Amino acid sequence: MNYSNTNILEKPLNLLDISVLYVEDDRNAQLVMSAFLKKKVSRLIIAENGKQGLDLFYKYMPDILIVDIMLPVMNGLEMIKRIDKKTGTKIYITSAYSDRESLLEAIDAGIDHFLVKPINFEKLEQYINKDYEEKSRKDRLKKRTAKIKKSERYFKELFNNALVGIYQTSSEGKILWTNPALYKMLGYSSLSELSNAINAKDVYVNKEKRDHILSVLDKNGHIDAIESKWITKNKRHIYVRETAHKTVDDEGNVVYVGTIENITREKKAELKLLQIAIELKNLMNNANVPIIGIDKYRKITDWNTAAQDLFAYKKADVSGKNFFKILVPKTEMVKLNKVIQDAFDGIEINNYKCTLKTHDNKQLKILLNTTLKHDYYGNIKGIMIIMHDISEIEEYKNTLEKKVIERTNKLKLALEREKELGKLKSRFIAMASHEFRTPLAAINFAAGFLKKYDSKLDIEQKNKKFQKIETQVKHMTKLLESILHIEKDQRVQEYAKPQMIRFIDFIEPIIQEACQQTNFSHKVELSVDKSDNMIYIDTEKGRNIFLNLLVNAIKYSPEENTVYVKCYCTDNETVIEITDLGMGINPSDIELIYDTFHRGKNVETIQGTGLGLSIVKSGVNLHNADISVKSKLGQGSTFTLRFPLNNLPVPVSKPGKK
Amino acid sequence: MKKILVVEDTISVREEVCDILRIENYEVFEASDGHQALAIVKSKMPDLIITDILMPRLNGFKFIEKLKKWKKTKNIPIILLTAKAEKADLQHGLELGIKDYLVKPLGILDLINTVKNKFVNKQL
Repeated sequence: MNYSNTNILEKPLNLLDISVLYVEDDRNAQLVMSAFLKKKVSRLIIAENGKQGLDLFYKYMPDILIVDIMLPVMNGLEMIKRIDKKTGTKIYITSAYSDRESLLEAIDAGIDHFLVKPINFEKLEQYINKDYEEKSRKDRLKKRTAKIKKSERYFKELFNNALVGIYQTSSEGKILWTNPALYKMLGYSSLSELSNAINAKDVYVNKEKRDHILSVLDKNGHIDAIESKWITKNKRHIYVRETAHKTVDDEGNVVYVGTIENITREKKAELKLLQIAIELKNLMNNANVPIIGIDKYRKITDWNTAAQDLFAYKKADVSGKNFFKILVPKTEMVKLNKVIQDAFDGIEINNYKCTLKTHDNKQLKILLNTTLKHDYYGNIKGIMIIMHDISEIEEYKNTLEKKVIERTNKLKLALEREKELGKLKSRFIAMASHEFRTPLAAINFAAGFLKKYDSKLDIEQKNKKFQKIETQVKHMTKLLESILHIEKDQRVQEYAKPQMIRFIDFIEPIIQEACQQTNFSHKVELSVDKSDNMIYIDTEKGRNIFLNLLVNAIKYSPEENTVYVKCYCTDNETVIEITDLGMGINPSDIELIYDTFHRGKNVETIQGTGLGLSIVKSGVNLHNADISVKSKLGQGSTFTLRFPLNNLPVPVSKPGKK
Repeated sequence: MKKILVVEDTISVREEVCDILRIENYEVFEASDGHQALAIVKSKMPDLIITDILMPRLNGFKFIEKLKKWKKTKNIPIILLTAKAEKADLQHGLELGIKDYLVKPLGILDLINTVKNKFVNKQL
């Protein structure tokens, strides 16, 4: 079909946005109508017969169809009957005839307006306006509906795909609607399964919590971000954060609408962190070393039990107080300040030794170790100081050092003593060998003499030599005895067994013996102030004392021939003075005369062992008596002895006491 | 008989020496120290002097020095008696012109031979 003669006119502006299909074969009518319509509507389609009209109708789907009944090929009525009324097109019939039959037929066919020719264009305009309005309204409605439908679809998508659970429940807790997120959260596979299984109230583990939520909702109309524990289909627990509103549905019933965030993971992490924090805090608190924390202002933030015990401050006493004020003695301020600053600068402090003070101002030696505390952003917010109280260890160390020094000194002394003893031994051996050598030589000489000149000698001469040998042997024996005495003294603890005896009775036999030993070279003058002067003395040991002193007095005054012995008693002492007028004792020797083997500088020519006075001294000590000497070189010496006069047993003296 | 002066303060030693010399047929004079010895030298003019060094009052060397100063006595031969053959003593003796010495304790033969030699040398 050739539609070249169809005219499709589109005109902009103040034309009704409506499309009209005009089917009329009469050219004149066409012209008139189209002239009118062109001014009225935005789209005008013209057809000349029913068939064409039908085709065009389906092609363009006009809003208004104006069709004349009288049409070639297919008449208007026919055409109308073939039109799908569902399209909503308004159908206007034009007819030359206004006969009833045609009208009724048209109405049956489903028309909206009947126009009799000649056309009343006013009426036509009215009709078009009205229908246009209706169309517009319909269009608007359609648009609105489409928009709503789109939104609906959009939100439905949103709800269904949201990770957050969304619900709607009745006031009694009947689950009206949830999104998949929510029913899946609870372990159900569909909304119906969920809503059939439980009531909303059943999910809350803690019934009080649930009641609380409901009461807030009822009172305030909403509740925000409340956390609770829910139980799932599998009896597992989840943690949720809920925000809900109270509202009404279309029927005016109260419904609750809310969102649910599954915060289980978050919560578990939180709980775990809390647990760790608590454990850490416990650890720190129960550690058996003091651990304290300070912030960047050096205020004390942490204080464990061990710190409390060591420094005698309770946590409440020191919290927020300045660390330096509380714990640091003045002498440590500067040094420790620098150390703490270093710690805050990130330098790890290991085993820094310092002194801190306690509440009672006791000073403690402490080893410090620090670690940093960071805030949420990673900045240093404080330091933890772990301390070791090494006061005891320090003390031990010091004591040990002292002990070591002590022992070393003792050892040194012992070593010295050993050396001394060694020297003494050498001296002794030298002296002893010398002292023995002389008598031995004399014996040897005498024996050799006797042998060689046997025939030339008479009895007297021989006897003289034999006597000499005997004397020498006696001398050596005495020497040996003296030496053994000294040795015994050194070795054995001696006791004096004193008794009260008249001094005269005690001393006279000793004087006799001394004179005999010295060949009666001297006279011994004894003077006592009272004849019954007593002395409290061990007779045997006392003999050693006085014998030695007398023999010395005689020996060391070869030019003179008298030795004086004087005795007097005081209330508690017996005093004896032995005086010789001999060579005297060099002042430098006075201190040393009692030393074993010591011999004065001036006595080289006089035979002596150097043992006599040491024997005297040890004897004097055994009696707790006193001995002193006054001497002048070349003029003589006086030895003064004082013996305590009492009946108490004499205490024992240690061996080798000088 | 040759005259020998023995100067020694230790009685036992002096006795030993004198006993030997007497039995060897020498006329022996004794002194116990330097002073005594000087007196005897002056009065008896011995042919030989045997003297100890360590003596009280006037020791041996001082005694010898005194002898050396006198014309009459400076040539009398001298034997030293010494307890220890110390270098210092020997040195001193040498300075005084004495080369002979006897070390205590004395051996009998040593004494006899040294005396004999001293007389032999003198004669030479």
